[in-house]
Amino acid sequence: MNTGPEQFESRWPHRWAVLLACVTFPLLWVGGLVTTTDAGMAVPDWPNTYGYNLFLYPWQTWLSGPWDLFIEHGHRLLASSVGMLTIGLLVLLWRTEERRWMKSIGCVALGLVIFQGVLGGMRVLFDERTLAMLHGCTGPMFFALTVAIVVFTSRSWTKPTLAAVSGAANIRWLSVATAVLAYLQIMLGAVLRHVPVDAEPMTFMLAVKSHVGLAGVLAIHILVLAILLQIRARYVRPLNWLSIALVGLLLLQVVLGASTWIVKFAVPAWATAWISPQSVAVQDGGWAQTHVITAHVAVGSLILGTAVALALYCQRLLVEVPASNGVAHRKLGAAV
Amino acid sequence: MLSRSTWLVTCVGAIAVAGCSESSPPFRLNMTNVVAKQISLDHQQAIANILGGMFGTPDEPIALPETGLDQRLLAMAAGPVWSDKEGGKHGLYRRHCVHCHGISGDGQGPTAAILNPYPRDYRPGIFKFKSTYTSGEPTLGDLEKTLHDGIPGTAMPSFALLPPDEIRALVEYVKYLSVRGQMEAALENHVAEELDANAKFDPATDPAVQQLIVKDLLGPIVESWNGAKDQVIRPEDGAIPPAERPAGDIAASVKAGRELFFGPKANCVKCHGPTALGDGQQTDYDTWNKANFDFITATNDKISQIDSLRQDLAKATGDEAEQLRKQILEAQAEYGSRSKRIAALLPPRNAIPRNLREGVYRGGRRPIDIFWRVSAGIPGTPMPASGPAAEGAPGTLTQQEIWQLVDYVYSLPFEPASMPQKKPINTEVVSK
Amino acid sequence: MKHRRLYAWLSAVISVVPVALLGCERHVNLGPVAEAGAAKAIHEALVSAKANPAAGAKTAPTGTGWATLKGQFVFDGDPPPMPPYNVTKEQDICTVGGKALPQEKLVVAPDSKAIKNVVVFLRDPSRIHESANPKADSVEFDQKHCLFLSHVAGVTVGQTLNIKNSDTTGHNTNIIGAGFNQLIPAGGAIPYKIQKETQVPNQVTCSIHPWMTAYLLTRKNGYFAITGDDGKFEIRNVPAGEPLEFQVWHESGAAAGGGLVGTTADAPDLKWSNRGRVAITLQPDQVKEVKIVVPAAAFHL
Repeated sequence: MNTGPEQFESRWPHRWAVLLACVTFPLLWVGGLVTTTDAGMAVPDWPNTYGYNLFLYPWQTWLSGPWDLFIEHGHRLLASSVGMLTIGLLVLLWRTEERRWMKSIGCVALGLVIFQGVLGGMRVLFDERTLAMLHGCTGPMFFALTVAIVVFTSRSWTKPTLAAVSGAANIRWLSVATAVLAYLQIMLGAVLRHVPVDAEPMTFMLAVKSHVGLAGVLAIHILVLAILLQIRARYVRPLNWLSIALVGLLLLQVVLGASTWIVKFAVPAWATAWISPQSVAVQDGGWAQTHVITAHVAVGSLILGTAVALALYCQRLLVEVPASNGVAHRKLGAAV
Repeated sequence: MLSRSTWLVTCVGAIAVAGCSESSPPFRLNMTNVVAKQISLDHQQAIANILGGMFGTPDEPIALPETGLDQRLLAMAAGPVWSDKEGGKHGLYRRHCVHCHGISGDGQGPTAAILNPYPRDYRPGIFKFKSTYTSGEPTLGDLEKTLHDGIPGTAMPSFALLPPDEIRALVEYVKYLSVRGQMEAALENHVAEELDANAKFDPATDPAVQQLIVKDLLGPIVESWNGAKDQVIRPEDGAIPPAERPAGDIAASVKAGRELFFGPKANCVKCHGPTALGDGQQTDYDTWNKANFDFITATNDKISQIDSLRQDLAKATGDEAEQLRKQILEAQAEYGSRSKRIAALLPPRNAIPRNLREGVYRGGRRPIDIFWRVSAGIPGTPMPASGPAAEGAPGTLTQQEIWQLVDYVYSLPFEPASMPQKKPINTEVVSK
Repeated sequence: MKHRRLYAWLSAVISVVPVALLGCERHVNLGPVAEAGAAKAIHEALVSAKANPAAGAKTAPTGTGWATLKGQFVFDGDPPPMPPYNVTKEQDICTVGGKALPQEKLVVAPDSKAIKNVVVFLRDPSRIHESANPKADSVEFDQKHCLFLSHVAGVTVGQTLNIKNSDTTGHNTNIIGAGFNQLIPAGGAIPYKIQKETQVPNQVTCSIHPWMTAYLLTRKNGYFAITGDDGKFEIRNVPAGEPLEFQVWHESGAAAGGGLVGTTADAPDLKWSNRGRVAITLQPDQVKEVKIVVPAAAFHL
């Protein structure tokens, strides 16, 4: 898999993948906004918008129209640009990429983005919240895939500097577990946001408890992983900054999660000793409520993306210290 | 190729999923009441049909003329969530309310169990924050205010960002769910009290039943809602303290209010506690939780009844024994259906008196709001009325005294907690 | 590695949760849903019923003359002893000499086994004798030692309940289901005019002293009685010559809605239902006297 230094390597797939990931993240944010503001049914048809072809819908009407329409149509426009960027990426990979499996991944990405688009359309045509939930689960998965492509096309991956670390196998394993848990946590969050209106209270309570419980499990994983990496592999650049970013995002996410609870369900009675309840009620659909909740959703995907990148780099860069060599923390040359 | 298989997968998924959750959820009966009253399956179906005929479905509500409800407003609030091209919002109830208050307005939406207080169950038609006498229904203005301002300190948000006509539509829909719930209770009560288990109960064919449900059962409910505007408690002009008062007047009023708070006439201290932290009597229930609590208690009582019947059976012979065996089977069946129901109940919670030092006033923070809370009490909760129970009836406190209590309540968040507590007369502090 | 299996399990369990939560599985009996056709038929009938207001009149009287039902309730066997009220505060006021009074969930005279506080009332009379017309006077409803002095009270619509507080501490009187919950100051009284009829007596409580409980029956006519210490009741001038149905109620009655099912071995013309209702037809000027024996299993305690 390793490419020799003399081989020609285009940087364009990497740049393109970065662009794709950078466009996908706002798309997730806007998608979260659609759910938060319940704008999913602002446009009744699909793939057209009120009879217009998606791209021909008069932009004046779109921009000056009601908020719901603005968000939903905007989500569709952004989504189609992500789709086209994915096609572009596939073309680039096809033409410049040596690794065959990378071409396959490009195909998978295109398939996933089409699937996601159709899922969104079906959600509208069937007016079915459960499809919206699947749609909300597939979005972060696609984002994670774009991050993976960024990683696979990065120099740190193609020209790796391996690091011999004691307990590398465990760290690699832990990093994968963290990424998987981060995705499961997103799924639970999607369940909470798309609960059927006739679900039973005890069922929802179970989902909330699972989400909060898994948040704790995930937080422990992230912290342990980050500490291990900081102690044993701080000199490996992507592992160093990604683990710091992951902890930072975790802290942000915990604050956002608690804020989401407060703006949605009020300060719980047991917490009033520390947080005084608001003497004025939160405004439903107000700026604070809308954006705190949506940010919680979006940062969840960001955590997933970071965890996936970290897991991939861990697999690629960490090797066990050879049994004969007792000295840990030794940087090895990557001459293979 | 790829997209065709995607379509296939999606459609299969959609069908599978559609079979699970209902896209247009129906109204449900109050099964706790149905089980408690041991209403037969046929009668349950009859009640559901009558309610369907009178009130329609969550997607297509009916404003029967006798109810005085507004069909146009109900249509705005009902049905699934969507928006039209002009930004007109549809399905307002399912957009804003249903996740907590539930499709039938039973306060058992998906989020109910994690909220404290539980979301309001509209079906008994009892509302806490209103301007009318204790037993009266709220005015539409009262409900509009609750929607507009929200209920601080709870999960009920403010809907101030909604246009007035949407708030008005939601209020109408809340009233609709209340009237429907009250009608359901009246029907269940009638069936349980008046009909044999296999008696027919069908207004489509029986004019006497038509008369009964519209006049005798629905009539008083609608009358009570329509009469709300005449039930508003209006403070006497002379007693209202002016907005601008000398500090000395306020201090004197606060002092008098404090005397009342601790005194045997108003007795606020008994529940709100000598520190006003809400640490007095904390073991009572509000109406909604008491219904669940009583249901659980009565279910447990069934066990002792079955034991008692078994003891009798040990002594009995012949026909009597046969009779007792039948009774035991019946009691066991009832216990079975009750204990299954308990699994679905929100666990009953005690009504905790308000902590008056937080400065959070759920029913509104204007002086008149607190005046109404003290005068009419908070219906459905242990908080009693201290003003008159109806127009012209004598109250426990005069309006002037109530305004003094209002002044004291306003001063409480600023009163140092170390201020020497006056030992309340004849009261031992309830230790937690 | 061991933990791999653990993680595989954890992931599997968490992945299943969303599927389980989709709403496919219902553990609760949600009850019936309106049938569209039946509901439509009812709707049409109700809308067209307005056009021809065919008054569904109450059952017309079929008999003439008046009769009287009287009797006594007797407990069969040994009643369970009543524990004292759980007085949690204000012992100096709420107890007598430091001792809390016994509860009144079932009050049976030790010798005669007579049952106190049984409610008997006539359901849906077709006609009402003038002596049983609703009254408009005032009835005392007092509380002392943090107890309601009338544990079970009955009044007619239109009467005024004069709720007194003879204690030196404040009470509130919460008539559950009636929308009445009023502060009664120490030594004071608040009148309450009865508006609505009840089929089952309303529970009356005090939130300040949670052990305090009473029951209030409100009827549109005077055809009701509440047994005293001697377990005796008498309902005079009920319609004769037509079928009557009496409801027997006790706060600890095990039948639906608190109904109390007794036995009347010496009066086979009394027909008991399993909800504590008695059907009988009395002759004009008849004075029917019955002894009602109530087994322990008719109570839940």
